[in-house]
Amino acid sequence: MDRKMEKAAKKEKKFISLVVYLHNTESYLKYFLDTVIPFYDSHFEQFEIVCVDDACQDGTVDVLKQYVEEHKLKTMVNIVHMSFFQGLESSMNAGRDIAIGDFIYEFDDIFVDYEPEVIWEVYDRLIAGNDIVAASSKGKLRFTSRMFYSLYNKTSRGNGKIGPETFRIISRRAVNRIKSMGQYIPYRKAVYANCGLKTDTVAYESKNNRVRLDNKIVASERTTLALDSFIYFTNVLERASAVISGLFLLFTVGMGVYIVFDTFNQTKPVEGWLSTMGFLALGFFGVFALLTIILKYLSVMLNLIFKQQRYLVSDVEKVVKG
Amino acid sequence: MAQQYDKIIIGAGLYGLYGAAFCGERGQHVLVLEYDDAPFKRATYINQARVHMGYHYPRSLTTAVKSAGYFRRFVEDFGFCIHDKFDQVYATSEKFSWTNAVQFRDFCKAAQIRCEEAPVSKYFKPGMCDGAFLTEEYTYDAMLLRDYYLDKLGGNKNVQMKFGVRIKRIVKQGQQYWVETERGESFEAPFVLNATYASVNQVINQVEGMEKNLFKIKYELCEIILCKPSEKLRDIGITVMDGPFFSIMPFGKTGLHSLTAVTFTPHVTSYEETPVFSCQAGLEKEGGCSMAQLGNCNECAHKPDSAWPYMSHLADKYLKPEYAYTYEQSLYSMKPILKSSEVDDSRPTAIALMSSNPTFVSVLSGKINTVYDLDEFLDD
Repeated sequence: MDRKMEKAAKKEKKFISLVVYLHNTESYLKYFLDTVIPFYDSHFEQFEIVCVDDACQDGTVDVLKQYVEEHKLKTMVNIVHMSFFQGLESSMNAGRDIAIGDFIYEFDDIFVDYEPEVIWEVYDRLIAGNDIVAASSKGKLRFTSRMFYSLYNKTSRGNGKIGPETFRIISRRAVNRIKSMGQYIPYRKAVYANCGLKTDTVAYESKNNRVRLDNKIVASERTTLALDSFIYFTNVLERASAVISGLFLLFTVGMGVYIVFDTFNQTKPVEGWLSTMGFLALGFFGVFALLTIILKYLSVMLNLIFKQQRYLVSDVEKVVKG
Repeated sequence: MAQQYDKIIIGAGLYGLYGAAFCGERGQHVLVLEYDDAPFKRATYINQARVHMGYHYPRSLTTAVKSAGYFRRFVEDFGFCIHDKFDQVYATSEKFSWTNAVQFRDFCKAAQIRCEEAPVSKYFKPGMCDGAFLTEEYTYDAMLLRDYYLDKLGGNKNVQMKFGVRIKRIVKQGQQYWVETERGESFEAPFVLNATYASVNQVINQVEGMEKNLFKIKYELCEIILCKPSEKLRDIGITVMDGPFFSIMPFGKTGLHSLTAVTFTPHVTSYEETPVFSCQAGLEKEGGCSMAQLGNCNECAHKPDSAWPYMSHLADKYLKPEYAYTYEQSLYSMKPILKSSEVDDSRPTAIALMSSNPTFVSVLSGKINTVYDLDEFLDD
């Protein structure tokens, strides 16, 4: 606590970037800015705000511009306009790519259910020796989210475990590391968790859990992303096909035993039945074995294809002051 | 009694003094009126000091070709103020650039300007740029250029320069323009050249009896940072181009580098016909700065805080650590931008003949080497 007070009195000199995802969240934006900006103002000497406008159709962008104008914000505010709706992950990749800070805060949404001090806590943990620190609500999760994380962590190829995150801070070193790992980042959390640098999580008591649970704006997109993530980062499909192949292998072996048993016991099934069954069992085994190989092959190709720039930006606009 | 001249030139920037010298050499009597107390105190001095070869306009081939042509002539005429002993590197950013490496190479080929591939990793951190090119582009030293003109014009009896002048009004009277100053002086000439750059519309507004066709411009209050380059950076200029990037390059022969960034160099913007800014509040009375008359932003008490933290962080994100630099000084100036030039990236020099007999010509150009465009207007 003492350290916190001390730090607050002496503003941090590190340059901070805030990357904020905006998609039709007009009614929440003012509260977010009102909560977050004064906090950064009092704790950091210099920071910039990069807002990613993922094809907002409501007045979100206007609210932002008006806010900057009204409050005569000293800090630089840039808006990255996505060409069309491209979803959270692509948009935030674009925002992170343009941010210039030593440390980058990623706000995947602007629902504030935490005390502003949490913003400082993640920073504190970061400079204590971590490269990525997330803030995570202790509150209840949606059932589907719980399922997702539990299944994901069981099947993920990497060591890093992921969980629900409200916002996070990442160091420039982590950004560089991620960049060198490959160009396309379909699911940041998974890439961050597996970049090999130290990560940490700050758990906080949610002030109002419903605000996040109730917001379904991006829910359908998240479902697709969840499915995609399983394909990109876990071996669920490979395992599933291996299991299926295994089952059929067992079945084939059982069939073999049955055929051998039949042959020696002189029971007389219909003419040709034994050879037909033997052939079929073997054939199906071959098909499923092949499918396993093809699936593996596809996943490699998938990785190759996605190593391209995957977002389209229509404009980077600086919010101007008069 | 108004003093009679052949030409009155308003604004002692490069365009104004070039015009004065051009006409003075032809035996015309020229009067130069300047608001500041010395020439070259605004945009001629406060800019990147780039002698444009055309690399800046990868999406406007015509502008590029024209720049390249003027480049040779300018370097020949004003060689004494030009610094060309450094490597000018143009790079395309991997992300967020409107132009990629292949497109830039093709463009240079089409414009027939030098473009040699350089190793990206020599200058930039990994993953930042997809192409780097050694180009032919120089920088000029505005102070040397100023001294040259002061010397040249000082020795010409045909040319008279007045500084610290406050123009009250300009009136079209028959075949003459009559210019009255706050001090009560008045001058007359059948030809007025308005070469006041950011004040171009303000001067047009002061003219009585002429149809007012204001330039369609927006205004940006810009900051150029001068910094001391490290040994390795000293003889290198680097421009990451065509997008929200930056440039750090030698600033004339000063030994310093100028640092600018597309996003952070403009501090505030005005979309009005004449510049309207919140920082002007409280300055009007002292005769300092208003929408009717711009003061000198670089000498203003209200100039904004430096964007050094932003610009340096942006540059550091791209540059390898050995290309270091330290902050020296910030320079501020008002920059008018023609609204039509944003999409195709062209920066035409706009010269408008606003009336003939008497003649009133307004010029607006952000480029130093297109000064020759004036010739045909001054000839008659």
